[in-house]
Amino acid sequence: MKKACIFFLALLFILGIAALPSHAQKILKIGVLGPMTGPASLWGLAMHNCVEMWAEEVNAQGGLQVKTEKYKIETVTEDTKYDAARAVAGAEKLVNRDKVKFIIGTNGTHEALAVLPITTPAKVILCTFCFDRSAIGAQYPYSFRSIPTAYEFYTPMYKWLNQKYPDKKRLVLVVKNYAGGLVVRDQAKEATEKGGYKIVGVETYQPATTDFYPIMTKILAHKPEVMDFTAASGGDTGLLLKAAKQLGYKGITLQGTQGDPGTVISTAGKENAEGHYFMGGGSDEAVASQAMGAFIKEYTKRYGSWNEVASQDYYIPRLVGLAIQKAGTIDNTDAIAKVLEATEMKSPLVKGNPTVKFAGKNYYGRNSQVIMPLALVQVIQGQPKTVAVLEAKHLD
Amino acid sequence: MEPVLFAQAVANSIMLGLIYTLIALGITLIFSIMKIVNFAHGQIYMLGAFAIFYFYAQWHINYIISLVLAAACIAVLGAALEYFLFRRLRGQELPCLLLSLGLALLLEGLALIIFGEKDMGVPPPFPGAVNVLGVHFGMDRLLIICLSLILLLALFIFIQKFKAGRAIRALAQDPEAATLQGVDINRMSWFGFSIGCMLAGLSGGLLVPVYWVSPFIGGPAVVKAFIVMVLGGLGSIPGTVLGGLILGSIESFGQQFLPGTWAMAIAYILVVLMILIRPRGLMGKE
Repeated sequence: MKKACIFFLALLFILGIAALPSHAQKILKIGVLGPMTGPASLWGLAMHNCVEMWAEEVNAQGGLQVKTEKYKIETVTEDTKYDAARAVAGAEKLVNRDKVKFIIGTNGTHEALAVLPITTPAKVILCTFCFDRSAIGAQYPYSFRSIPTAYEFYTPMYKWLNQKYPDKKRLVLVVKNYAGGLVVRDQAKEATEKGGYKIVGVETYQPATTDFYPIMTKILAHKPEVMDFTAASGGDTGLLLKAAKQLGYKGITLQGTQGDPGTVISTAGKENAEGHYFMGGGSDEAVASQAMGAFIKEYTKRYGSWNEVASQDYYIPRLVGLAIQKAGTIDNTDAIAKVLEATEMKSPLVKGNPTVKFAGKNYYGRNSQVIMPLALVQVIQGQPKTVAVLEAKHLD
Repeated sequence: MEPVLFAQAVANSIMLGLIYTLIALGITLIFSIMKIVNFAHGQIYMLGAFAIFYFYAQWHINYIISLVLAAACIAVLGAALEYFLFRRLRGQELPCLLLSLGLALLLEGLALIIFGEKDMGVPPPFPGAVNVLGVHFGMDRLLIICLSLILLLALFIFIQKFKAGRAIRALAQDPEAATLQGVDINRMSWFGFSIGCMLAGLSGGLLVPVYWVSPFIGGPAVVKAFIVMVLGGLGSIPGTVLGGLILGSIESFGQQFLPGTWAMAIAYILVVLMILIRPRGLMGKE
């Protein structure tokens, strides 16, 4: 019995030693929080995939160099299903169970506003993709926005349109009835009223609407010259365009959020999508660099098909990585947040390598909004073409 | 109210009504024969839409041939589902309900893995629109109206005139008596379920050029189908047509003449009232 006990203890000791790596690489955990399933997964998966690609790229080079240490990046993903309650549960897990200090995510405004009371006291840096203005304000010093919003896009876009179509002023806003849609509606109102447009109608439709003939009939009764689909998804935009054109509309159509050109054109049909304006990801030949081509190729190879959203999601993990390196710490998020506000990088994806950085102090109260060159894209002969590269205007 | 706007609302009501009838028809047929509330109906509708996406939009097969192929594929899938899953739980309403719910989640999850998360459009097989006295119709919608009416007529003739149709009707009315009269309950349930699924697949295939397809279109479609069923009457095919037209009219007139979010609220209130006052629906059996 005694021999058996000694043997058992010895075995445990040997196994314990074996389990301890002699030179274990240090780990830096990055949380990813967003809709990985469900109708909003278009955004969540693009975000997740970009973080994953960045992590593998960094790990292939031996890890993220922070002072003298190299950290292997590990991603931990929580699916929110675009639901605030699940986002809270996911954030709790990431913060308390996985002890992450950085979360890339929350796509919806409702998710972000639900999660911020968890991440802010825990001093976790949250890089959200939601459009709400308050989510990155001074009251949330660890919150940053990872993509340009309609705030950044609307003012220069409407200025451009005003110059191109000076006599087209009767505007209808078409709004999807969800938190993000209502936020973009308010942004559109603010930008267009400043731009001298006359809003002749604001028409709201329910999520999961598939037939837009009735609402479009109502919209056309306002006799609009410009129709803004605000934050409609690619599929909704396609159906709105199709209904508008089939019901005889001949005016301008646009949206102030990033479009999904493939879906818009295929859903609407080329003839109905013709002329539609939207914010592009900068992946068409007019502005894309060779690196963008390689990125699209790699993304498509890994995940089956290209997602235009990824062209803007590319930057945020890289900016966070740069800030960690500059701050020289992976734990002190006060220091990292401060550095992140001043972090910038040259975009390898866009011709001329323009700067991508955080700005917005005058508008949001902190330099918490990522800005990058904004491509205004129009569907011309059935293809999305960049017609102007706009600069975010009402930021610093 | 301008007469043209009213006329457009009426036209929209008929178009929407037929579309909802088409979606609800399969679920009604399956319920009438097997007393199964098939929650996976929406996901089968989604698979029909994906079948057209690949046959027609990706592989450029003629649209009508694509529809036939899609219908055949979904009918085979329906037959397999009945044979391997639902047959084993026949007569057990709650397990069947849970099975269909699980199946809905499984099919949606598999579709997300296989087809990806993006919305995908199918170019209209008949582009353009016509204008009749100021009322506009998309050509693709006119096609749906025509094909829906043909499908409804074909189903009606099949149920009324053909031996298999009469057997399905007998099974729906009284399974025991039908069995005593020599109706093979296994065969007819299998056949009926397969046709119900085929109708779901066909409606998905017909509607995808008008709408779009993603793994998530099934949920909203099945909600509309249930509203149609509750209004028209569980298991009644004429009731389904009536329910479809009522829902289509509520949406069309509601969205056109009331604030944007009222239309569906009215539809849901009507569903609640119907369940409270007349649970069998307008044309359902006691």
